Amino acid sequence: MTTGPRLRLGESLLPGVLAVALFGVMALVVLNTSFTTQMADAGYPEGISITSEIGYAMLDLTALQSTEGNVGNTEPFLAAFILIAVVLDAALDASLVLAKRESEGQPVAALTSVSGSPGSTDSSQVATTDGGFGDEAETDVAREDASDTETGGEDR
Amino acid sequence: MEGLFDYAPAIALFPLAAFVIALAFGNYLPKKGAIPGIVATGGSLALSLAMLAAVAGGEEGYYHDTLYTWAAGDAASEVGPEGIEFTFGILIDPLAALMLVIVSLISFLVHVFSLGYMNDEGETGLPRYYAGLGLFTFSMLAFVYADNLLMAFMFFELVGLCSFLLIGFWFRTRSAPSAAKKAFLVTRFGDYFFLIGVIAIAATFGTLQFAGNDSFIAAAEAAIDGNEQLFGFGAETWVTITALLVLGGVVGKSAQFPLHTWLPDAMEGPTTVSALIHAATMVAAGVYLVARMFGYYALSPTALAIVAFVGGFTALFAATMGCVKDDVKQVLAYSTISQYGYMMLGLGVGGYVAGVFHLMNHAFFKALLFLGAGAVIILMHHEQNMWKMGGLKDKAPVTYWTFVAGALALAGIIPFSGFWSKDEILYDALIVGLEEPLILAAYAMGLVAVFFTGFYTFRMVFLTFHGKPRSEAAEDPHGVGWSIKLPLLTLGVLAVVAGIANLAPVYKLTGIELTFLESWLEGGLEGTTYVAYTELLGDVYDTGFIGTESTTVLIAAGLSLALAFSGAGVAWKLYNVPEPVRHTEKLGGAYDVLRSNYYQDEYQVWLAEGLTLPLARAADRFDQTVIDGTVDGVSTASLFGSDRVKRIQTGIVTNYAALLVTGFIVLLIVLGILGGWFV
Amino acid sequence: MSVAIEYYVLLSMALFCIGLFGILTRRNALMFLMSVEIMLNAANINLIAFAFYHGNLTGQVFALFTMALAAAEVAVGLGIILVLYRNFRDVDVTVPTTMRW
Repeated sequence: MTTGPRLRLGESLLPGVLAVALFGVMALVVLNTSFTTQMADAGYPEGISITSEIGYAMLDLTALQSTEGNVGNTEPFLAAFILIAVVLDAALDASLVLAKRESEGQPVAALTSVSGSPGSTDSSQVATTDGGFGDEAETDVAREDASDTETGGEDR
Repeated sequence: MEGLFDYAPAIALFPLAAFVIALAFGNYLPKKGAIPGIVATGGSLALSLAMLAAVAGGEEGYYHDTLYTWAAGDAASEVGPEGIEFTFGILIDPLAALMLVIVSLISFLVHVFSLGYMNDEGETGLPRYYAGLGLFTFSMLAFVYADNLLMAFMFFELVGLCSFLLIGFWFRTRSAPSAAKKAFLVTRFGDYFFLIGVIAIAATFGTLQFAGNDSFIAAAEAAIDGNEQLFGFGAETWVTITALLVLGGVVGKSAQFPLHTWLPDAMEGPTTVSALIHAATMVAAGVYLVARMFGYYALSPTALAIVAFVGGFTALFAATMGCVKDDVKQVLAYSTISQYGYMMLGLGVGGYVAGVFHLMNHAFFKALLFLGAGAVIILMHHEQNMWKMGGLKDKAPVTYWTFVAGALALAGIIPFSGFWSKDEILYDALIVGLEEPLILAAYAMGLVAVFFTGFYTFRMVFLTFHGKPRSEAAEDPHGVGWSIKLPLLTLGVLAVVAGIANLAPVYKLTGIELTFLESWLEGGLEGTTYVAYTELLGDVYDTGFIGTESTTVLIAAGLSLALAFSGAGVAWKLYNVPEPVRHTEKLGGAYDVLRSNYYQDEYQVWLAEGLTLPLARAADRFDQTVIDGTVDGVSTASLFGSDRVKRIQTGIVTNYAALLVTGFIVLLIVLGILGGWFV
Repeated sequence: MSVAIEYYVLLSMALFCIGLFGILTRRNALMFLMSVEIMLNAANINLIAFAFYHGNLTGQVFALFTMALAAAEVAVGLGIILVLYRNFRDVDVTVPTTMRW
């Protein structure tokens, strides 16, 4: 059983050569590519708040959007935004379904072990009730997380 | 009178109905299906006679109608029309009308005879028997009035099937099923060529009609006149080839050399079946087909000469074998082969009337002889060996006298019917033979066969009816009823008087118009009449005479009559004694060869076992190894390959990832090189 | 004066290959998840770099979406790891080899 992250050297590192090789190939490609515009010519105009502009684009607030430079060309993303929110919710539910298991028709909490020590029937019972409770808590946390991600993605 | 022809299909459909009734309800009917059969064939006979009268009295003298077109389409024919139609149609001209009467009459008499031969003897499976007879009669009648080659071919095959079914009637014995199979296979071998011939004719001329302006015969004539090239051959060569292909079916069905071997074996069937199918009607189908498309054969001297030569050879060949047989039915079988040889000879030398005449006479006297033999077999409590008979003359006078009438006709003794037709054939062969050496050889063989015919015929008669009884059964014969005597008497009268139909020698010698059949066959559709054939043959054969026509007639008739009498005389001398002995055994080696039928069966078995079987084995081995090997190899290779490749699926995610990355790297490198990303 | 685009791309590639290295060499499922996160972030760097390069904000918005989807992916991934652990008493990815020939 893997008890924790361990650094293993030797033969198990062999596939890693592939990753290095991939980097080599891709680096070769990139270095042989001549990008037409210098970075100096690009960038954002002075005096606008990038964060607010992102917010406007995401929520399709075209009226508030700056028209300077290429910033005005940013597409509206409202539909994608909503879709992502729905997907995130679905993913959370899916993870819960995956984590949950059923024992004799009763939903059992995710982290309870079936083959516990002898005489664990009692504790398993407790775990079940706890699990139901814990389920709620977890969901709440996940919700918080999700809203966090949606609104304050920049924080990461 | 013309409206009568609308009922023509019924001629064939009556027996078909009898077939259905016998098959479905035979077990519940009195006489087990014989009554519907007799009624149906009687109806066919009446209608056929009406047709005969209508053809004779009608203004056109024929009836030709297409009943049903079952396929039509464009034709890629070499010459002839653009479209081709496959139809069922009826052609009743003098030839067909005559044949219809013959077939339905014999069939009717055989049905009546069966009452005595089958019902009274307590046979089982009678519904099957009568159903077979009904189906046969239907097919044969439909074949006779078919108006195109394809329809003829279909019913040709159907009569072959009925022959198979009826030969194998006693399927619980060992010999009958084997004989049935042999008959089926041998005739089918000939029919194979026939089928190719039908296709060739259809592909060449785009029509399969026997008669009329759009017949293949007319098309072939036009092609020959126009010197056209057909499939890379000259028109005449091509006509010869197709005619010979069709002749393959004729040779098989009419039991001509070398496909005659099935007919003696076919005697395993009930004697009534032998009388109907293997003597009078089905075997005649081959000869009838040649007569039906005689115009086509007349276009090709080569084909005609081959027909004549095959006929002459078969006549002699079969007659010699008939001389040594002990079984009364075997003798008759070989005589049947021999007599059909005569018909082929007659047709081959251009004696169209003579051939048809002999066909008619032979149908009567050979059916009579077979039915007589059937009566003898009943008398003898199902004993067929002639050496165990003898002395039946006084105990069964009706059978005896009718049998003798048939025998005299068969042997060709004046004034019985067989003499007139056989003499006419030999006369026609002689006058052509005087100019053509090959035909002269065929004529010589036919002439020698007359002697043997006389010999074996009377050997049979004397052994069967004369002398002292040589077994208990012969001393105390079983009686026969009216149902046996009536057909015998009818046919006996016909065998005696049918010769009047065409007394050609009398006409040639005295000028009295007694050639009814000839004038009868002069009618009909344009192009299928005797007159038209005579014109065609004028180009083919030269004829010569010894002295004048009259002397030639007298010489031909005298020769054949003398030979027939001497053959009969030899038989009389040797066998008309109280205790006859086997004189033929004195022939030594020749006797063995004759008893073994010239080793034809052995030779054909060798062909099958020594040649075809290894060939089939080789083909089978090729199939098993090369073909199957390829298929198996493909599957083995893919099985083996997949067995190896599937080991990539280790179930370990890391390996999958590694494979993915490897693939990606390879793809990247390939695309990079191709797209010049590394430059 | 800003850094040339090539270096951003190289950085993102390096990050991606580091993540890939982790996936190819590690056996712990949790390390797998982390490696995948690293690879996603490599993609984010690329997105943002090119957004800056073109002067518009599309790439930046996309990077945000990627993060949201990464969260969703982690949620599902963790669920799978839980099931894995429950069935095999282990989070070693080489242990469950039942989905093979």
